Amino acid sequence: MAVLLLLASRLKTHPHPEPAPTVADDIDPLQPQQDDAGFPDRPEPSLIGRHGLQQLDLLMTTLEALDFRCGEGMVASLQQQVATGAMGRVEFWKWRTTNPLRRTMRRNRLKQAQVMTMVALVCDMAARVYPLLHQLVSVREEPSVAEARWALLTRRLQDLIRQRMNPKRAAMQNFADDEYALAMTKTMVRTLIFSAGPGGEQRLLASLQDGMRP
Amino acid sequence: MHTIQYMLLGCRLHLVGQGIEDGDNSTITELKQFTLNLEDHASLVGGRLHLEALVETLLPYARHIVSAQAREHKSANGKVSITPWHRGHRLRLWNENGSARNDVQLDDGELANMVRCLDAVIHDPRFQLDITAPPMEGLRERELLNRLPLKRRLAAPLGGLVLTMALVGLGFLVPVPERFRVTDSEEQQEGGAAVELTEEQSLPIELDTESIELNTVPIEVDTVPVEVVPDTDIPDP
Repeated sequence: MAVLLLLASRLKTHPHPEPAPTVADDIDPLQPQQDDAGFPDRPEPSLIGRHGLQQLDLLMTTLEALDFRCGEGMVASLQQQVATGAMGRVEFWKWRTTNPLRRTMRRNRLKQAQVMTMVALVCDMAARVYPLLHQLVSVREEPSVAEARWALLTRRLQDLIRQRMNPKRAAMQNFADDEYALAMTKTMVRTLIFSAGPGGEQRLLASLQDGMRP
Repeated sequence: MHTIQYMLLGCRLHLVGQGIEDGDNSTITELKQFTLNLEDHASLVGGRLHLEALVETLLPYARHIVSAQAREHKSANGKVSITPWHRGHRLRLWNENGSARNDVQLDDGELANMVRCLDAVIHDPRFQLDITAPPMEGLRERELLNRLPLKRRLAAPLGGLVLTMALVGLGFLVPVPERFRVTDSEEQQEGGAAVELTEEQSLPIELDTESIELNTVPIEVDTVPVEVVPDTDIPDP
């Protein structure tokens, strides 16, 4: 009886007790929202276009080819950046599948905050592998050693692209050609080395927006 | 005098100036001199104007490299210029009188080191001079011309030209329509609403009068006397 009275008094004071806070309560632009799949009333203007999405994913793939731990590093870095901690590798993979060249691609648009986070990730990871990048582009290295490094990196990148990208796309079919793949690898490495560090974010974002200005 | 030093893989940027002394957090509010050493093969020395010019020139140059569109950049005060050079870059610092103060050839690694050092300077709260990175935007479509191969760039204009010439050629094959005129009388009859077109004879017909005269034969007409009958009442049948 006493227990019942106690429960009744508690119900009087809190007729509708607040539910425990959940991850989805905090509106975070980096978190997946319900309206992602629907049609928002006022769509956010896209920060980068199709070419930018391709470039961003290819840069991440190049980082993984440089160092296989980069993939894990990016996920870990992302989890640190997002305070709520609900950001997992699946969500990160969903972001990356907005690249139209992917074997499995999603047609939803990335939000501006998501693009900025990905750009910051690329620049951060490029700063971490900066000594590797520097070795590759430096002309003071032994030519035969440099060639062997480039060949190894190109082969790794070709393997990753064969696994992940749509082979029907002409841009990806070109990667089967060793010369084209080497030229693309050099372009990616050059982009990464000049995007490394905090100052590189501006440069990389600007380059991803190429061709969008009237 | 306070100093701040930035080091990155053989690139060392040394700033000397006046500021506030606070142990490791000493700040520089007035720059006296900077020294930039590049792996012991080059050393650049200058003042605030040269550092400003380096930031103004190297950072946009690096931004263009990221877009694979490297091109010459020169500072507004004319103290620094950088241009693509063989497989690397040529950086020149100029004196007040226009003579070259330093002429350095850099590879991508050395340039990247310099750019990262300059990034570190302008993002460092200890460096309290008003030197900021220039704003960066995406390039316009026309600035990205060499991204497309020459064949693809020429395909559209050449295709248009060939199509236009083919249409013009076909136009010559179609016969020219004859001219038409509207007669005034018909126009008046129709009240201007409906106009009937009649074919105009383009060449005047010249009559061969001589041949007509020769061929004409006088026609003899047999005249029959007409008998005049007086009016009589015709009986009803």
